[in-house]
Amino acid sequence: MSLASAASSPFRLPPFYGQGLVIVVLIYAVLAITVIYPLLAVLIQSFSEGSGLTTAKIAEVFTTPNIIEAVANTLIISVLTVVFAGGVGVTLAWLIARSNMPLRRVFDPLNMVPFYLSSVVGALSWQVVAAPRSGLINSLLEPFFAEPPFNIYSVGGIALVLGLFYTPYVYLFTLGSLQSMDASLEDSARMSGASKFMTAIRITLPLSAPAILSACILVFVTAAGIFGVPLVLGVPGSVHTLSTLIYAAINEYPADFAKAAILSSALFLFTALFTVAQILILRGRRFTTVTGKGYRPRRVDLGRWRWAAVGVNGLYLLFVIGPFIALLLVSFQDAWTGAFAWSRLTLANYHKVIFIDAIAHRGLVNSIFISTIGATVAVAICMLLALVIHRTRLPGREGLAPLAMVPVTVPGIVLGLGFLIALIATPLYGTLWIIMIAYIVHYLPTGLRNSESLVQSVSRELDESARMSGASWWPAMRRIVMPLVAPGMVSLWLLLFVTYIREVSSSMMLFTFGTETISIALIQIMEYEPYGVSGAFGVLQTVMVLACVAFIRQVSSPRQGNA
Amino acid sequence: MHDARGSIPGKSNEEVSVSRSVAVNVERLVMSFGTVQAVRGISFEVAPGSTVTLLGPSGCGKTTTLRCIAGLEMPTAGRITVGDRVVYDDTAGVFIEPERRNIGMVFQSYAIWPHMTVGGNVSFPLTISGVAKREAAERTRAVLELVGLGELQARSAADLSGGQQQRVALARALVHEPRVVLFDEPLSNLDANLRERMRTELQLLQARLGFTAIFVTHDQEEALSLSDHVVIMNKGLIEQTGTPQDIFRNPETAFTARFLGYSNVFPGRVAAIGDAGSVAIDLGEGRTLAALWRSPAPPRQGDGCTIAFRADRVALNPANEPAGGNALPGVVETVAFLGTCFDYTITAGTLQVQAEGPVDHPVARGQAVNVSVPAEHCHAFAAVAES
Repeated sequence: MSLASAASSPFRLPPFYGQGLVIVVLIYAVLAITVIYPLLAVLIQSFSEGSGLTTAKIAEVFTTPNIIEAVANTLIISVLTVVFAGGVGVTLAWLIARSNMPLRRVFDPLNMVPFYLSSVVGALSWQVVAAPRSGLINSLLEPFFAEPPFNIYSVGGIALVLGLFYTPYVYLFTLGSLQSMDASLEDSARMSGASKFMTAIRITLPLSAPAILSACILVFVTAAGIFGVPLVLGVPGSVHTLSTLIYAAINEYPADFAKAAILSSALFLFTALFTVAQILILRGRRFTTVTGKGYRPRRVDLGRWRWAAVGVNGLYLLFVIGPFIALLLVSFQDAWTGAFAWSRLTLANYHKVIFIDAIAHRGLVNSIFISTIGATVAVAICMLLALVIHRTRLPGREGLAPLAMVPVTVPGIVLGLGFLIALIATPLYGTLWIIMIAYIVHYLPTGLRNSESLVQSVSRELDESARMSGASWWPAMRRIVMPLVAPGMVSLWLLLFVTYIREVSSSMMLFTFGTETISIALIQIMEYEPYGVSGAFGVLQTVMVLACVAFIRQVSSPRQGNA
Repeated sequence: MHDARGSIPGKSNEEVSVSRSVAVNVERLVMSFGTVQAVRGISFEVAPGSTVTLLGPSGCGKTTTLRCIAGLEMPTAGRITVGDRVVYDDTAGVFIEPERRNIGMVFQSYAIWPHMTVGGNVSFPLTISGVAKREAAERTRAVLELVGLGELQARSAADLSGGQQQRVALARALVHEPRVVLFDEPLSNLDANLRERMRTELQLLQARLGFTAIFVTHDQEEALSLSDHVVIMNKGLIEQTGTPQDIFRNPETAFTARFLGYSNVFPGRVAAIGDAGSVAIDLGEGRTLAALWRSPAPPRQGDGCTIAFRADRVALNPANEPAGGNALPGVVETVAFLGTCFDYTITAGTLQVQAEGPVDHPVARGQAVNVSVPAEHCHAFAAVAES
């Protein structure tokens, strides 16, 4: 044995932690600057008008009629979105997990598709279908109605698109809960005399309630802060929400930072309040009651209603995928006349967005640049955080996760405004880097949560045995933990890449001429180009995203030795 | 794998056994998790080349103690010495990281790295400490031979059976020739047959290589059969230490007795005190048994106490025959045939006595019997407030 390592001198108590402590302090400092400082900047800005602190501006803002209307719109849209996404999400999850609905295996992955797609592209595709005059359905029904029956440029239209796109959140949470539930809990209800539907209502759903509630609050908060869809569908019909007003305040000339900051603070307080409420409500009640045994929860026989269930799930998918298909068709037409015509078939729209249109080109290149580097940096940061939190005894590590989770409560548009106010006077402003930093911070919670569960899925004894074999901390992490979570890290990278590619809100606050992202480019193209061109660009983005998603599923399926 | 001695290069039996008088010394070790004290100031020594088992129910602090020796936990207070090196001392501010303690460890889950081959797992400790490739390969091969896995070197570690995983874990713990090897419930994940075989193999290996072994287990049989010394732990404290025979024959506390399978444990009062530790214990309802006092503190007349005896020390005599002294009259309540013996429950007033009897002299249910226990097999302990 090597005596050299055995005889190394012991060191004194405080240096127990030594460099580790420096690293922790450093991490706290970075998180404080990137997570807390932009928020503080927004809050401080709301109280400053000219010089000195004042609340006068706040009073002024909240007595303006169109702002009161925007607050009301925001609330109505959020509530409608939750009702839609909650109802549809829970129903679909139950049908997939607990019924004998045919085609379950086909529907399950399809139901998750909107989770990955850009809701702005979704809004665009719904324009194609249900815009008051030019919309496909409206033009089909034109002969029968005096007025176009559907108007997507409305509170209801916004809520519909948001509901469709946030259904997968509720679906995913509920499905997970239903699939991990102990079958004997339901069996014993049946043995106690409850019918199968009674059991579903009285036992199954209440046991999943924490998961469902959690998802619903998440959807509610997200819908309240969402920016892209209200911008695309609300502004044409003069339906304003808090987020579009924040954007408008910045785009006025001169920009009204104080007004934007006040509205942002209000929006942030609202979302933060609900997130905190969610944490409080769910503390200590996680029901679901997982069982280690191999019992599969029994499926309910729907009888004749099986095909009705297929209809319900099919209708949801039709609402999501149908408009996309319409958009796809439109993108291959040189002009849209309300119906597809072979004679008008063309690739000119794609040629234009890929090779000719400067903004489209820039958006594509910029987004790929930001997303590639950003996802790499984010995965590295999140893995480091997860390792420090779960694989060290460093003092203060417990506080890191809550701090890094703060952006969960911050709508992208508020975060974007924060970075704008904080960094507008620095050389970072007007670069791609500022957008990249905003993305990394905004989705830090997603990255960290995934990294944490990856690290936790590796048994501690695996790296402890490396320590006992003579490896110090970093070699043990690098040679044991990291290789074991590598497939998960690839999945996480792709997930973040996809998320960055379709980001709208903070990009909208931070882009300048030359640093447009793909979503910004899409929104600008929508303003001055016909459906065909913007459709082609939207399809392009969607294809990119779907390719990544297919890859994620490839990477994260089976494999993994013993975990 | 017959001549294992010297098959690991640079190692011989003498080198290890001559070296020092204490291989591991734990002094006043305290480990708190928040407000909970898992280990409450325990001390014990482990002689070089010996096998010591920390035995106790789950939550008694045995695994925590082992992990403190390994360096995987930072103790709250105390001092730990491995060989001649202090690896932890709270007052001197010493804490040696686990990788620098030169201790081998076999984990409960075996912790085999699934992304490596068997050879990769076993040679890891050598590559990490910079042993030359050739030598590392040679030593890996040798130690795999030793545990009987010579032919599996290139196999992926992800598809090994439980027994094979255990051997790989053992080989990995031994390959860098640590003086001390720690075992955290090494046999608990194996089925009964395999467990017995691995137990024997472990003993043979240790005899050959002469390392000092510290085991943690909750299985008394494993502890008694494997070790030179047993440390019985309860609620973060040491209840008793001694050789397996010593502990088994002379438990010092009611906890130890109960934990070692003394199935008859009853409360009573000291009725009379005789010579050489002999006492008479009043079990109530006029029943009295003679016993030997085991607690360190001397007995006092009238004090509450606990009496314990094993089921296999009990003799059953028909009620009409002479009882032969130190007996309780009772009625056979249940009879169970266990193959090598009969297992009886006898109701003696409010007491339920467990007894074993030979297969060739069955006693029928409902029969009135005298349950007699020789006084030297009846252990009496001062009563402790159990929480």
